[in-house]
Amino acid sequence: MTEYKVIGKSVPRIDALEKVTGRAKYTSDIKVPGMLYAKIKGSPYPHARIINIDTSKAEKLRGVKGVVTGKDAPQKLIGSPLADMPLLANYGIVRYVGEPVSAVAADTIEIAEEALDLIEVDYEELPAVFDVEEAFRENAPVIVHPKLSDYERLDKDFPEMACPIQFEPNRPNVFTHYKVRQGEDVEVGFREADLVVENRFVTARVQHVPLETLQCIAQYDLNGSITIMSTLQGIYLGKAVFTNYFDISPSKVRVISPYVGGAFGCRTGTSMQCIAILLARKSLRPVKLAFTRDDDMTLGFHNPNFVIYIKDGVSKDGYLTARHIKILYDGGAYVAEHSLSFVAQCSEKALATYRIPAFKLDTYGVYTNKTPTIAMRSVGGVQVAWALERQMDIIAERLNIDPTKLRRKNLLKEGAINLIGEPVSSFGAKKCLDQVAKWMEKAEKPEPEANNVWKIGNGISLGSHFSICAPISTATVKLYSDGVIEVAYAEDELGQGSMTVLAQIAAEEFGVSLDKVKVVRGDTASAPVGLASVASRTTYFAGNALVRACQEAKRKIFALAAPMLEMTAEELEMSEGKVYVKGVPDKAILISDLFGPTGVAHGLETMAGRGEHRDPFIEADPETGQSKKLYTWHIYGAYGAQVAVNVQTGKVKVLKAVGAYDMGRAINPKLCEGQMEGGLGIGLGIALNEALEFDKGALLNPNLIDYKMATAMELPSVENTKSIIAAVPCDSGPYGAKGLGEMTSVTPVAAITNAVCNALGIAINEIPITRERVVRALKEARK
Amino acid sequence: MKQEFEFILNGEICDAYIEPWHSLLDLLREQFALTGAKSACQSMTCGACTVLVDGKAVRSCSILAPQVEGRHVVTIEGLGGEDGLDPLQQAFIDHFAVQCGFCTPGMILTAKALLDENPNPTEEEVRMHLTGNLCRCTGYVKIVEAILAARKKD
Repeated sequence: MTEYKVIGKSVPRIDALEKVTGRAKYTSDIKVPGMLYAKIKGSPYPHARIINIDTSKAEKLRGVKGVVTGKDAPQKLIGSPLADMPLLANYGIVRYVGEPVSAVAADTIEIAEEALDLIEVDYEELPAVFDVEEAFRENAPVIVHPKLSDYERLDKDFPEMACPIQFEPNRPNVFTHYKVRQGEDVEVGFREADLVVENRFVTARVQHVPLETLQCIAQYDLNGSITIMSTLQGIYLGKAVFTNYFDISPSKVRVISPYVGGAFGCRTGTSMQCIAILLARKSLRPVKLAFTRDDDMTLGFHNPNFVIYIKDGVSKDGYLTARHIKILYDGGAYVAEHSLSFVAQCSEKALATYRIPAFKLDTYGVYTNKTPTIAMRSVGGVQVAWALERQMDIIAERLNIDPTKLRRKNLLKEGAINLIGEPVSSFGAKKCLDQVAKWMEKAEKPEPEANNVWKIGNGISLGSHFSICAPISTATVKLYSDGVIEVAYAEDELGQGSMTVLAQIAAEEFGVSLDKVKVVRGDTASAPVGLASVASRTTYFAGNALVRACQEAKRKIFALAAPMLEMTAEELEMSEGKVYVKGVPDKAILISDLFGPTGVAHGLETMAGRGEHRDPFIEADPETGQSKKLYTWHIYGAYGAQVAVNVQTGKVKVLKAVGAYDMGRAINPKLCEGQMEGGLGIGLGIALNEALEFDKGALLNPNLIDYKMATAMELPSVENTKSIIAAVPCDSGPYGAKGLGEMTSVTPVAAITNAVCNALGIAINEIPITRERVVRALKEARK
Repeated sequence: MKQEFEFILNGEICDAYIEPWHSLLDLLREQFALTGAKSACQSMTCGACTVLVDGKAVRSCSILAPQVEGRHVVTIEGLGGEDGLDPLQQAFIDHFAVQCGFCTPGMILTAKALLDENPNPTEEEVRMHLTGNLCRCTGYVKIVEAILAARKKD
C-alpha cells in the first residue's frame, strides 16, 4: 500500500483533550434559560384500549407548565419504511408495557414526577402475545396490528434500505417476509447430501446501554420553528422526521447533536424527541427530556430477539450442498424506527461469506406485544451470525473435520457471486481466518488436569457486515487565509473517532498537519446534509465526500495561484500552507499571499469546496433477493477465543481473544483497534450474560445491576487480547477504506460460545450462555 | 429548607447552598456547573459520577451533598495543575483510552485514587479496581493500558 503522511497513522484523537478534562459537552450537560423538565407516563399493560385519560389534576399541580396526550399529537402514525407507531397512543391503543400515553413538563423533575401520578388513565386490557413463535403462527392468538395493510409504506421511497415490505396474508403478525433464493432447489440439495444437519437457535433480547441515556432539549419559537438538541446519530435523520411529522418547513427545523455518550444504534430513534417537541409547543418553553437508566431501558427500544432454524446438507468431505434458513425476528410492538429494514439486513450474515449451490432464506419480521425494536450494532447480525457459526461448528463435529478447515472449504472467492448475486470484491475473509487460525494455534489448549473443575475450550467464527447504499453524505471544506482547513459534514461523533478520521483525510489532501484542521459537525445550521452515523458508513461516505470537497477547493486555489506563479493550475501542488510548482518546491506562494494582506483582497475570507458521495444501487428482485449491487461493500472478519468453563459453577472465563478484520484500509489503526476491542466487550456480554428479562411484556431488569454488561474483570488480559488489521483495499473507498464499527461485535459471540461448547463437549444453542444454562446443560448431558 | 456549608472544591474553599437531600453529584453539576462527573445508572453500578473525596474515589451520586462539609473534593476539572494534565489524563490520550468519553472522567479519577494508594498495581489489580466503572465502547483494553502506563515507575 502507498505510504501517506497522516493516513494510516495512529494520530491521537482530536476530541481526547476535551474528554479527559471533563470539558466535552454532552446534551446531558446543557441547560437553556427557562428550561422545563419532562417526564413520560407509560402504559402498565402490554395491550389495551384507552377508555379515558384525565389530566386535569396534573395540570392543576403547582409548577406544571404543560401536559400532553395523544390529542396534542398530529393525527397520523410515525415511522419509516412502515408507519406503524402512534405517538402518545393517539389512536387509543397501547401495544407494549411502557408505551407513552401522556407527558408532563414542569419547573422541576420532582414536580413532573408527582404530576405523572395525578394523570388518571382508564384502560380496557386486551389479550397480548409475547412469544415470537406463537405470534408467527397462522392462527396467532392475538393480532397486534389488525390494520397493518392500511399503514403508509415508504419502502419504494427508500429502496436502498434493501428491504421490500411483503406481508403474509395467512400470518397476520408478519410485517415483512424477506426472501433469498439462489441455485438449485434446496430439497434436491438435501437429498444429495451425505449428511443433513438441522438446528434451532434462540437468542435473548439485548440492549445497547450507551452510558449517556437519551437526552433532548426541545425549543419552540413563536414563528413556528423548532430547535432540537439531542443524543442523536443522525441530525438530518432527525430533521427529516421532525419536518415530516409536524408538517413544517425544513427551514424551520434545526437539529443539534453535541458529543454523544455512546449510541450503538439506539440513537437513531426520534420518537421520544417528538414528545419533547409537543411539550415545548404546548408550554412555549424549552423542555428537557432526560431519561433515567430505567427510562432508557423501558422506553428506549431494544435489539430484537430471534429464533433461527438452519437446515444444511453437507457432503462427507465437508462441502455445503444446500442450506435453508428460517429466521423469526421479534420486532416487538412497532418497527417504526427503521427496524423493518433490518429483517433483510440482519440476513446479510448468511449471504456474503460461503458458497452454497442450493440456497433458500426466509426471514420473517413478527410483531409481538413487547418493547419496539431498533438498530443495534450490526442490526441483528450478531444473533444471526452466531447461529450460523454455531451450526458450522456442529457440522464440523459431526464430520470430524477441523472447524477452521470446514470454513475454508466453503469460502467464497474474489470475483465469485455471493448468495444475493453480487460479485465478490475486497474479500478478506480468508486472510482474516488465516491470521486468526495462526494466532489460535499458538493458543493451544493446556492438557486437562485430572479433577480440574475448569475445562478449556477453543472456538472460532467467521462473518461479514456491510454498509447500505442509503442516500448521501456531503462535505464542505473552507481554507482560511492562515492556512487552516475547516471541514464540515453531518455525521455525528458517537465515540468511534470519525472527527479524527475525517480530519486525517483533509490533512492528507492538503498536506498539512492535523492541528491545521478544524472540524465542524453536529448542527444542521452549519453542517451540510448527510444521512447519519449508522451502518458503519461515516468513513466511507463522508470520507469520499470530503476527498472530493478537498479536490474542488484545491482546483480553485490552483486557479488563483497559477497566474501568480506563471504556471498552469495542473502544474501546481500544495502542502504546509504553500502552493508550489510540482517538483520545484521553492517556486511557491504562501496561502496567506493568495488572500492578500487583509485576507479579503479577492473578495474572499475563505475558499471553499464541496463534495458528495452516493453509492450505486440496484434494487433486488423481491422473490429471490438477487441484485448485482445491493450493498456498498462487505467487510469480513474472523474471531478466535479460548475459554475456561467451571463445570461446578457454570462460570465462563474468556482467557484469550483474537479478531481480524478487513476494513479496507485502517486510516487510524489505533482507532480501529478500539472498535475491535469494544466489539469484544459487547460481544462477550451478549454471549455470556446480557438478557432483558420480561414478565408478561414488562421488563424485569431495567437497570445495570440486573442487566449485566461486561466489566473490566471479565475481559481477557491486554496480552491475551489481539486485534489484527487484515486490510484488503476497497477501490471505491477513501484511501481504500470501507468501514468497521458494527462488524466488530458480529464475530466474537459465536467464537466465545463455540469455545464454551468445545470445552464442555455439549451443544448449547441458546444465548446468553449464563452460568445457569451451563449447569443445566451439564445436568441434562449426564442423564 | 436549603442548607449552607463550606467545603474545598478543586483546591478552593467554596460555599454550598443546597437542599440536604441532594447528592454531591447534584451539587457539583447544578450549583457549580462542573459537568465532568456524569449521571448514568442511578444505581451505583457504573462509576460515571466518580470524584475524589479526601483522595478516595467516591460515587458522587451515592452520597448526600452535606456529607462533604469541610472535606476536599476533586473533580476531573480540578485534576492536573498549572503545568498541564495529570499523567493519567495524558496516558488516556496517548493510549486511545477515550471513545465516547462519557465514562472517562470517572475512569480517570478511579485510577487516580488507585495509583495514589498503590503506585505500582498489577494488571489484575487495575482490572479489579475498575469493576465499578462501566464502559460500553472500549472493552477496557486501552483504559487498562493507559493506567498501567501511568504507573509511577521507580
